[in-house]
Amino acid sequence: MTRQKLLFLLVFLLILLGSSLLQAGTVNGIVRNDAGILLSNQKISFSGSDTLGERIVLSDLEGKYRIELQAAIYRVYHILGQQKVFLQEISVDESGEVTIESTVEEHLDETLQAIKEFRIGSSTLSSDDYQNLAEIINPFPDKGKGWLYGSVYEFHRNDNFDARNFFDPVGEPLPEYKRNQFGATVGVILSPNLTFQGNYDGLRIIQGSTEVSHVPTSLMRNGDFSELEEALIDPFSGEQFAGNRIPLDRINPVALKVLQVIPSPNLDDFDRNFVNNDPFVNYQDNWSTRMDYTAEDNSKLIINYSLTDRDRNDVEDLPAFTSHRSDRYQAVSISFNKTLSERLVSYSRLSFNRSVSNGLSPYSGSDGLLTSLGIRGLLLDDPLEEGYPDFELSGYADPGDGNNPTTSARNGLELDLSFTYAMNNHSIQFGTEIGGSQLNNYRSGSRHRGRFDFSGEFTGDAFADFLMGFPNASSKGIGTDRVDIRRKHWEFFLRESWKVHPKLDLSMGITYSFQQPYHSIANNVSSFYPLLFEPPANGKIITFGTQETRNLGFAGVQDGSLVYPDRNNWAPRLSAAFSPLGSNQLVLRGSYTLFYDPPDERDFSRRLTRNYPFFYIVSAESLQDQPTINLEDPFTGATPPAITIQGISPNLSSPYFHFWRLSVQNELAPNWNIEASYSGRRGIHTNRSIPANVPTPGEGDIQERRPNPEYGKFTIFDDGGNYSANEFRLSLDKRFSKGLSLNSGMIWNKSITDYHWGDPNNPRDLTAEKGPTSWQAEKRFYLRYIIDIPAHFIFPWRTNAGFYKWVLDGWRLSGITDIAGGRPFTVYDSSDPNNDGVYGDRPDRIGSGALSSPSVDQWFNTADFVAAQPYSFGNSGRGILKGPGRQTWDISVIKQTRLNQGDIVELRIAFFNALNNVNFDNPVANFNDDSFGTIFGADRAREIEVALKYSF
Amino acid sequence: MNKYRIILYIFLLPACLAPLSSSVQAESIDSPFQDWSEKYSLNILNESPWANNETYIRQLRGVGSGIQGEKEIYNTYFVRFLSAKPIRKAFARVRELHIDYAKMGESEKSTFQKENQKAVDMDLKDWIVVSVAFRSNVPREESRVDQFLMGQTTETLKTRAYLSTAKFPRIEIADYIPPTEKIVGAKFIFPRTKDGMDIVTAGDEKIVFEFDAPGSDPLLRTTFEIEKMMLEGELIL
Repeated sequence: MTRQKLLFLLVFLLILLGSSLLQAGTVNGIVRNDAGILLSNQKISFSGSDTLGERIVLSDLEGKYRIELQAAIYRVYHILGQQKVFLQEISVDESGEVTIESTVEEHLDETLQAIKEFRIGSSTLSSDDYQNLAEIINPFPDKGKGWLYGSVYEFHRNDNFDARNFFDPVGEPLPEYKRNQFGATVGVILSPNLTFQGNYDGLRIIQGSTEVSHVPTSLMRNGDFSELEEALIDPFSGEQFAGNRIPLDRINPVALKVLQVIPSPNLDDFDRNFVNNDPFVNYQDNWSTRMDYTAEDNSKLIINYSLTDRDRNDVEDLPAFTSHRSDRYQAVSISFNKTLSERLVSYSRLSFNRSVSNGLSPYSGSDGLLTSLGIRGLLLDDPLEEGYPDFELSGYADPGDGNNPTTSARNGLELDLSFTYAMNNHSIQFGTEIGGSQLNNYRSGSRHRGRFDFSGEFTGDAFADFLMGFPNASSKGIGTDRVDIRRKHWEFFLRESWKVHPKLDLSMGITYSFQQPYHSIANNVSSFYPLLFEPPANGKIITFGTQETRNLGFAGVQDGSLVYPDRNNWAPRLSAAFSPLGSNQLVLRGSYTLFYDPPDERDFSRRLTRNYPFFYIVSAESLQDQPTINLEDPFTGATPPAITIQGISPNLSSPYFHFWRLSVQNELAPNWNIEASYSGRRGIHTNRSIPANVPTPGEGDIQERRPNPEYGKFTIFDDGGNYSANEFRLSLDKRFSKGLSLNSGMIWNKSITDYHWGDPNNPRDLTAEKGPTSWQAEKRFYLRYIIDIPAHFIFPWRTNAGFYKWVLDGWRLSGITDIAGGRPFTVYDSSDPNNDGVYGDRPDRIGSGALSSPSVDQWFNTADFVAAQPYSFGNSGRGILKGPGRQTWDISVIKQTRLNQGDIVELRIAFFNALNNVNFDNPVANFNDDSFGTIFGADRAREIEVALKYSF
Repeated sequence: MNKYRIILYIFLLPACLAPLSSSVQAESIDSPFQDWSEKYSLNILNESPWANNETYIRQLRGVGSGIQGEKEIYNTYFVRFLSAKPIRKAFARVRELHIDYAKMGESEKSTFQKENQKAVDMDLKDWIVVSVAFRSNVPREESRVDQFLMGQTTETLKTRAYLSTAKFPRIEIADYIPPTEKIVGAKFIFPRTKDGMDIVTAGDEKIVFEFDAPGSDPLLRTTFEIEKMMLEGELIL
């Protein structure tokens, strides 16, 4: 290390405090360098007369020292190695105290200085030699880092390696599957202070999918429903069609045209009679670079840039509707950390990211397609939107181009700045995060092509309704669906870690965050006022950012928004760790955290600008039991079109979550830990989406019975939800040593939400929606392990040379096992038997639904569910049944071979779902579906991946 | 393979392994480091009572998972008592074996040898020095930990790094030297005494180094057995 030449400065202060009892004066000193940093371990010498001799004192960690001296004149020196550097002369009075502040050349205790300079590298070692030496001294399973290092790799899988999915047709080749993931990494150590890393990762997937569905049979396509056991009813006469056949002249011409894109069955199973094995294609290229620079003062600058391009198609049940999607994601960040003083460290980061996505239907740009179907009232301005309307056929695969086109361009900019200040047993961190995000050209589904629902309520079969052209509901979007919204956010935090006692650590903190509600730059925001579950007849649609809304009391709402800002988000946290035996062998931990999870971009983008007159949905619903609208003229039928409303509660606040955890961790033996923990989570004001303007159950036209019949269905996004979860976990871990690493645990979990999204059974009683969450199993076991296969025990004749070393060394087994119980699901009836226009009705439950031997054909006892009484709510609860459990064993065998020059070749064979367990999906839970209780899908069967990697 | 051969293997195996397990003891730690072999030196640096390495593994799950071709993230901390003379001797010996003498003049050789010897002979009677080096198979993990180690000071580490013995559950760090090179790594300096008492004595069972470091879960905690650090009745630390 090069010693700096420093200035010497003396500030001399005398403070005399009378104390006749003192036999000597006291000297209080502070030592710092010329940068003002307090220096510890500095030797300060006080030389008095010959009789007094020399006294030496060492500065403490805060650069302070204290020494008592007999009254005399002293010469003060800083001991710098073997030298003494004179600082000043002081006079010590018997009854006084002297304070000295000294600026000295930074100097460690001599031995510490030597330790500081202890290093392996030297000018006589080349950079490459040094890196090789690093590899020798700090050996690592991976290749060492020369001045130029990196790897190239290829991971390959194909259908020849894979087992058959449970639902793939037997006797036929497996769906096509080719997956290649390849790439390269390069690192260059340009100097000890400057490194560069680059990475490319490519992915090419061509994968035949197994989308199983139910399509109309060849007879049905011609109106012949004689295969059905149920009678096919003529909706006008109320009588059964003769021979269960619809006369050809009564088949709707629109349906005939759409029939061209509905395939005939290709499987023998009547319920699951069609499989789409069209390949799913996913191409992805990712580039990333990184530069690390370390300055002389240990400041560190890191610059990252990454670019990802992805092209893929989305395979649907029906091959004609496979869509295409492309995404580009870029991110750049600059981070810088600097040690400002011995106590103060700063960290800063500036980042920017941008992503652009486009999803298109296969018919996008094919001008005139929609018009050619002959559905009155559907017109498109943008050829990009061309495609088929959505036809929702209960019990059948649904033809249609869905939400496409979907587009978005997102920009995000963020600045993070934080400081850590250390003070004895305290470490205080404070900082801020400031940022903004934009969502431009967002389109998530205009419904300009229309949507038509066929439930089978007229003939008894949804496809028969479709053939005759009698939807029970139709809807279409009007206006532009383009969204351009913005938001800023900032956060300030203060956290402290306090080492209260060698056995007790405390940590506390508080964060204030503000997330501005998203606002539209086009100021095209409107909503119904007042936004109530039962909208009054005198209510109306108001446009925000106008004098009218300001007069109504919305002055605090930013133009382009309709939500008051939530400025009350203070989030405290507290945690403690207690080690009763010291040294963290046995640790008891407890923590409490409150955090906010404000509504995100999706919550606003799908609602903010989606109301009359900017963008809105008009819908028409047929009378029950009698078709009053038809496919050729679906919007001027029996009932007038009604405008739907997408509302956001003006007082929408950020949901917040209490999170608490208690744990006991014990080190059973070196590297072995066992831990028992309990954690809980409680969500308050969680967001939900409620259907409103809903009539009470009853006969007759739904629209006429709505609280405000001038409008259609409302959807109100508010913050009235709740969530709770409790989890007990028992884990046993072994940190990697002696060739073995192990993480294992058993989790018991219970999580409950009330109404969250979708259509409830009874919108006026959302507390009845309380039930287990659908995404979490109650029990789960996990096991993760890595085992170095000890070849020298298996093959004791092994030698350290040649063939044996190549073949027998470097074997490793790696595995992940997950075993989980079934996830809850809800039985519902989409046919809306209570006739309230909300399709989450539930049937009556007359039994447990349990079966002693559930199967894919009947997972639960469907006879335990019966239709609810007409115009009433069924008593079946939410999440009352559980789906099939899941079990996966992923196992990899790895062989690393070191080449003579130190390079490494790694061969890896990975078996995903190695035991080929069949992990079924949840069954069809729609009581109104012909396939009620039947399972249609399963997760992937066993797959094998072969990988080769070369590290240099 | 007949059963007699199996029995032979069973008896021969311990005999074959025995020299390995006692290799540190068999060669003389007191002998001049210039006499040490590279293998012996590396054994001191990685397998001896004064050296531990702790590996934290994160397995990435699922088809297509992975970071830059890696399915498992290995983060390894190499922890050594640099204040223990055998460690410094081993460093000096490896350094000596890898220096290119052919490129050095006589005076350079002499200077190098003196420096090397000086590094071995430094007087650390007041301090216990722990060196921490880090390696990962994912470059950005190395960069992250490097950034962390470079940004720390003695003060910031006072709440993050400790030595612990039975009598002194947490000895605070006295000084910290960020990495000046990757091989030795960062140096954590602790006092040998506190309140006039030795923090570690021959009668102790173990000494533990704890470090709240990135990539460790929940913290880097590595244990050294005192008994194994005893040589001829003297604690070498």
